[in-house]
Amino acid sequence: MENANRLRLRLIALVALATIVGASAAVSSQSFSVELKGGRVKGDETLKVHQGDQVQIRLSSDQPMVLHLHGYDINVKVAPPTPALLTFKADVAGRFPMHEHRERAGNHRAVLFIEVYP
Amino acid sequence: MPRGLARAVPILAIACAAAGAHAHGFGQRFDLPLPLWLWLTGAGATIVLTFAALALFARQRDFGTAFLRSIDLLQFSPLRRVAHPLAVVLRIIGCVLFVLTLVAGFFGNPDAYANLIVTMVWVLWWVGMAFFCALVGDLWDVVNPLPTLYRAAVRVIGAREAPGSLGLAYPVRLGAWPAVALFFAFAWAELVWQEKDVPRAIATVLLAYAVLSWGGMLLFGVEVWRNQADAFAMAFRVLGRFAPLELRSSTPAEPARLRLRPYGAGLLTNEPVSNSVAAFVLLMLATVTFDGFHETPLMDRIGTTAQTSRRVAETLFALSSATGMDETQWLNTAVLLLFPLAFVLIFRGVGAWMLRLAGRAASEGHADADRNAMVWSLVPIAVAYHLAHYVSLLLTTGQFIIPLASDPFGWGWNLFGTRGHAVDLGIVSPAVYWYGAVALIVIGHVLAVIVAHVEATRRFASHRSALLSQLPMLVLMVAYTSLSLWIMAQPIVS
Repeated sequence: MENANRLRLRLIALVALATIVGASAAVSSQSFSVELKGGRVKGDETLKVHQGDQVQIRLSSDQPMVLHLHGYDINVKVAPPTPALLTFKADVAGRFPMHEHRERAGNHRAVLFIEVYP
Repeated sequence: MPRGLARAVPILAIACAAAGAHAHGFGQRFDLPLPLWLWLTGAGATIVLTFAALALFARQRDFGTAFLRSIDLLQFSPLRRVAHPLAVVLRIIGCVLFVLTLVAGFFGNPDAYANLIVTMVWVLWWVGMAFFCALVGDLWDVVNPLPTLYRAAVRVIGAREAPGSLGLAYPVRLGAWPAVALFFAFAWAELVWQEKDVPRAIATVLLAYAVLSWGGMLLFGVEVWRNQADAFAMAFRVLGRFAPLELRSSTPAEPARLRLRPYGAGLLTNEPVSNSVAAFVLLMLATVTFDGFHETPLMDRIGTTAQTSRRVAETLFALSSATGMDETQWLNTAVLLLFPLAFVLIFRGVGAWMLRLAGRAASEGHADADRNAMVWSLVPIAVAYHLAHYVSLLLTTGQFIIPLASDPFGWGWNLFGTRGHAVDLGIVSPAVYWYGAVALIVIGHVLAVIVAHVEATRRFASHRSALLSQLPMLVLMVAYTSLSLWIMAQPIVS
């Protein structure tokens, strides 16, 4: 009887441990720091994350601007000198461009790309 | 999972209409580029399967002739009885949607996402109809509202006995060149035009095209116009040749046709292919390739490099200050023009090589016909690439039709209770997209190789010359397929 109880306890502990390990593997958090100069990213303009990741991007820019992450449709206002923080959960896979949001339409390149891999 | 996911599922918001240069007429693809190993596997499979097919052809001269068979579905009386009323219903729906789309464009909400016309024209009609025509049959031939409305107008005016046209002789020399020019203009509008997502502008162009078509029908007759000058009738017919259903609505000269055949069989034809028709098909293939290519980092680099050349930069600046188009648009226009020219040159070069290998005697006096007939064999690769390239756009941006059905004018109606329905971007997973795209392109390539072989066997007398003639075509096809796969492996940058 006591043996059976101990076994049950161990099993429960094992399951709990597996859940914690599994969860921490599935939901990892990704942090990036992106510096914009003249509307362009210094360094790599593609950030790669995995589906399910909690993504955190610190955006600093030398000029004020509103950035729009397509697909996820999140707007971030960057007002220098304070860096802005963009956080979201990468639920859907794909390659998502981030554009500067301007009033007039026209051809403008994406500032940054976020690739969410399955 | 359910609660969190529902909240976090990305939604294409109406507010983002102003942001970003859209690659296509409308909407944006969020596809991840193919991983390198998958691209290499696809290209490898293409080459291996090409050689396997070649080995089969070398053994068996009539390999693939089973392709030629088709069944007349109208010989079955239940089908015959259903087909005609169904065609009438579809035609009426086509006309109603055409008028609704025009009215929405002219009088509806100016916001691209709130007005039916933008989604209807660029996604449902151009992408959706193309998919249907390639995979099922040339439905456009049945539902095309322009001839239907024209014939109805002629009947109303009372020219019941008259042929409904002035009956002018269509200049033979023009061939299908009007369709080529109109299709180029359309491709330019889709890929370069700044106002392609402005409802009023689309409606104006759509109406102008309709008026031009009706004018052409009045001058030369409905069927002549449709066969020679109507870019869309022709484009959907080209795609429809690949499809398993041969659909042709009845004309005064010919009864309706509904035949079942294997995929690609319609590409084998005894009709002579004129230079203008061959150019039209190559133009279609080239614009589809350009569509993918102009989003790649390579095109971006070409643009940047071109701007560093002083002469190019000055020309672009002069052009952009003299017109309403900016430098990027002029550059894209130039590359859009170069693509089909390059395709035609390469095709002619490969054609000359093919005829040389087949032996001069093999195609004495009909060299042009033999070369041009081979243009059909490239269609399966184009169809496969087109499907792979656009499927995610159709499945995501196409969802806008759900809210638009309730509120086509963007006036706040809610006819079916679907207004405000959000678009789910997670509908196509990257794995499905990747493997599906590669499988499609490889299958398309194999079909292309088979079609080209059957065509060569029919045209060249000896087994040896038919086989030899196929080597240049195979080189061209492997290159074309690999290019298509390569584009899919590029990250989208524009």
